[in-house]
Amino acid sequence: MIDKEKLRGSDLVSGGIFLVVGIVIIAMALQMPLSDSFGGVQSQWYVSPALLPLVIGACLIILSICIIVYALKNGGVEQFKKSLAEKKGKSIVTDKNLRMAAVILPLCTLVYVHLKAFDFYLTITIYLLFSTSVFYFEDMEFLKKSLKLYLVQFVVMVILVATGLSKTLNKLFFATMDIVGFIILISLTVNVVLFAKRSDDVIKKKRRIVLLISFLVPLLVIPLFRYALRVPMPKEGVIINVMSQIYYSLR
Amino acid sequence: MKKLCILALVCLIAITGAFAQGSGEVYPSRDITNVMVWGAGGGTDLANRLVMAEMGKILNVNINVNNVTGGVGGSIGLFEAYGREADGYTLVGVSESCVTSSVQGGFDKRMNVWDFFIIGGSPDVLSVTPNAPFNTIVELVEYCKAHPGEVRIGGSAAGSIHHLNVLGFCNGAGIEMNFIPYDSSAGSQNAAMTGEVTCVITSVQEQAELLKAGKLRPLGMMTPNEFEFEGKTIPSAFDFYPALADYLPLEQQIGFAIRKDAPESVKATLQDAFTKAMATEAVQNYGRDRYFTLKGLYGEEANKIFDNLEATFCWTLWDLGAAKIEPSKFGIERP
Amino acid sequence: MNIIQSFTYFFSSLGQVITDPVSILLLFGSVMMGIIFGALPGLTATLGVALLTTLTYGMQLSHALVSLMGIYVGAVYGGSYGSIMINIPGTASAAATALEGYPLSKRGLAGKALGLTTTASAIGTVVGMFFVVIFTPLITKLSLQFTSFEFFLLAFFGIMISGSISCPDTPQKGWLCGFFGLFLAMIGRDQLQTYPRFTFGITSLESGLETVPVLIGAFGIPQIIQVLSDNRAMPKQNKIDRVLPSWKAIGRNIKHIVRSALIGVGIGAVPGIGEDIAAWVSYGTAKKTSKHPEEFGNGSEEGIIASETANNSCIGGAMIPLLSMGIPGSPPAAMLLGALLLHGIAPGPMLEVERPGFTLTVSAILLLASISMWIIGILLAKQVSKILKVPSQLLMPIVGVLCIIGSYALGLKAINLYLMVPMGIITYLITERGYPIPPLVIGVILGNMADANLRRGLMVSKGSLLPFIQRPVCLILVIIIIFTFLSGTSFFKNFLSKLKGKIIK
Repeated sequence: MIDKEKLRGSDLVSGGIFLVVGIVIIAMALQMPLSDSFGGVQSQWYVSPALLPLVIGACLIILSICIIVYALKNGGVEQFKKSLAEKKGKSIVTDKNLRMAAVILPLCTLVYVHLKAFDFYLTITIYLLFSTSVFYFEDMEFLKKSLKLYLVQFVVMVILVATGLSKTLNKLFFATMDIVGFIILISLTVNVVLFAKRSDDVIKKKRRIVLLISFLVPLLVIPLFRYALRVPMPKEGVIINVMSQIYYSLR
Repeated sequence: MKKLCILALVCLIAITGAFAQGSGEVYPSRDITNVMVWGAGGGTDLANRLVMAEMGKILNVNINVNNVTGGVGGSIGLFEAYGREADGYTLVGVSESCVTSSVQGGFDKRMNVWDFFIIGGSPDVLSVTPNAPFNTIVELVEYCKAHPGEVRIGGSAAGSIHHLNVLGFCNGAGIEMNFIPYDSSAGSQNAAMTGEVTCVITSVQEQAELLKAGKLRPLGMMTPNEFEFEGKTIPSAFDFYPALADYLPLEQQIGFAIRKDAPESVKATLQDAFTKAMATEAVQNYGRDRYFTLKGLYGEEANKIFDNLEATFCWTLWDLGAAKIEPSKFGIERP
Repeated sequence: MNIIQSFTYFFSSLGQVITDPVSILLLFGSVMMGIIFGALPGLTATLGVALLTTLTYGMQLSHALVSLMGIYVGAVYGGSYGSIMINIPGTASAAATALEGYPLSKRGLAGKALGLTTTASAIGTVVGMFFVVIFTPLITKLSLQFTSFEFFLLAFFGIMISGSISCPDTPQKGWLCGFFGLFLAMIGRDQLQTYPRFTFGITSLESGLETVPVLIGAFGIPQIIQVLSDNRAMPKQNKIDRVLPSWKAIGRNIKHIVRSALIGVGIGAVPGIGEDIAAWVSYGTAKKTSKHPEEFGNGSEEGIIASETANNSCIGGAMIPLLSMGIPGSPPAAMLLGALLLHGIAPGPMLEVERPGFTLTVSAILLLASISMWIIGILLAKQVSKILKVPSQLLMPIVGVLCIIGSYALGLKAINLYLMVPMGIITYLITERGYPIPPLVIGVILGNMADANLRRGLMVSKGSLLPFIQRPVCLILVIIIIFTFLSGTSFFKNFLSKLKGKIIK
């Protein structure tokens, strides 16, 4: 959490946002059927689906005004100005923000881009390999370099998925996208291995742990969910199909 | 370098493995998945779990029931099941309420893309709380005629089979009642226990224990035939109000379905296993204990029942103003 | 059955399970599996019971019953592991535990916290069991006092209380989050008229937000972002001498244990609401009645005991309406009902006539399940707290993967994941600004209940608001809610102190 003194300044912003949300909720609720029948249930004001949203909207508005007023009384404006002045002239690319990007970007990529494109084993191995190596090596230079590499593949993948090219490619040869996934995984692996080669023994030891975790954890977790808990994976491509073959031949 | 070699090797095995799959195998050689569109523990879920377990024994594979709920009329589960390959390894667990999915803006196809297997269903019954001043269905109707909209009747959510039965009953008997929707049949029966509603329309299966204990009193069946319940006969409401025949019966149909474009040989295997499973003692016992009319229908017969249900449900909803899309847009004709 | 017969029956069913090695094996196995289900974010008690329903289908009844009760008890308890160790509650019912358990673990006392919650959970389950045996008829009658109006007030109260107690800043922020959670719950088709609200025409949104992605998004993702981006190390743990809490610690808190267990049973017995509200109400009450309210939020023993006892005693409570009326008291109990039906047992008012002693068998199993849970828990606590030795940079990405698979596993829907990530980022941003997360999550969980029951109640009363003050249970709830509201405002505090001053004069 931000320090208590600075909080009043940010309250002005957050309170303002919730105020807008409250107003939007009321505006949308007023468009719902207020007293005419819907779905064969006789309708009155008290049956309307808009009833609670109106109450919620009103309460959000009242509470956010309370918060704004409290902030104004406790020197919110000065703090707000102060924090604006502090931000001025500073670059957005701070270490903290880079680290934040290195957490959020892979998470978003996993869920929105890779999830439906690759075999699920590849998806989570890529995620694990990037996230563990970037933070566990504790080296900002490596983080920056890896983030750049990751951004490149991110852009390529977004283009492939957004244009529907990934589907066309898969029609040409059923495992094309899985091969693309492989290439991404290998490039990340090479990145880790090369970096470790140039570094000291501590990093070399860390490299081994990182590689072990990223390749083995999915190998444990996926069969656990897929065969013990019988949960189908979001996308079962080449690797999970091989797992299934092994599982059915052993059974 | 060594690692890269291993990786490449894995890659090679993977691709050959994936190719090997699907070449001349005997159905079923893998686990079958039943995508259940309703929640765990409900009537459709239970009947499916039971029949799937028996069918699994016969086919010698596991049939896993995965609940994929949500959307309207189970549309998310329907999409999920339809999105998978029509190789017979995906079934979808459905009930009568699924037929409304299309007109409510859920599933984007008619029900005729599926081949249905009907396990059975339990008929709906109108019951009142024990202290209610009505002894017969006639007394109830007379009271409602004198005091329109005063008697509270509970049922599951708007657009469900029990709700349509309530509507059919009110229209057929020419009365007006205060319909209070609940999120489940159990919810409406619970409300009858607390005295929030006087009447409930749910299935005999769901009411069985309360009826036995005398916590609910059955007045009439919503089907044309009377019903034997624990040595007592519940009369049919149709005997008193023949006009009900214009609106009812709407019967519960619980079962599962497979994509129509699945190979015929696969369907034949499933039909055979289904028939055998329906005859097992476990299923028969379940049917008897839970007041479930076992049907065991499949093929044309089952599809026709769902066709009729689709037409009735969709047009009723459209007339109520609860449907988003006009049924004729899907080619569903007015019954 | 008279009392002596009941006693003999109870102990004979106890004996039957203990003397059967298969039962014992199943019991420990399923409790262990339950704990894993509870501890992993996303996997819930309901899913665990559902999975075992299929697996136990071929077993004989007594074995199936042992496995099902075992996994239920284990899963409700297992949620506390995530809360204490990494501040990500495994289940919604363990969210209150995180408020106290994680600070304890930060102080290096994770082992002690686990020992306490294990013992508290076990005691809670046993107390719940006693209620099943003794008070079933009475509690059934009481739970039938709950109609739509009471359900609405109870849901509203749950949101309010979590808003007013978990707030690090002003209480207004807590309530605001509660209302925001309520708003999120409004998304989707409403339950009464199936009118689509706030769906923006997106079909996938029509079924509304599910609890698990919201829970994981709101608790899991902000924690992952914080730990990794701040490069925060896992809290260093003191050397654990003993996990077993001393008798003194239990004796000191016996008041809280008993009260929390009663709250848990009471709330569990009300159909449709379960462990999550029980934990919050109990936690809130503990804070209000504690002699050291300032300790709350910094690792209070009383706090974790209150929430953990209550959520486990809820199991017994939930069994009461299930066995006596056939009405499940909580979502996992609903699945349990299904499992029993498959085995040819129909819980309901006729159960004792058709199968005399079934309730006693269930309570005997509940007792054994809580004992085995306690044994496993005490043995595990030391081992599990070793997980905190894993560097956070390695642990958190793995937790992230588990969160993703977990929330996918529940509904098998990609939309849950698509919603989970923005949910996580929004909550991260607002926690940084002093807004509490628990009321938001509780709001989402209880929102539909509040909405549907309010409107249903008004339908029954034809728009009259009078039942709110005419019905006795309602009146009590209304008074409590108003009091909770007022006690958060400075105006009321001044008024109280003035009043005190006047009286003393």
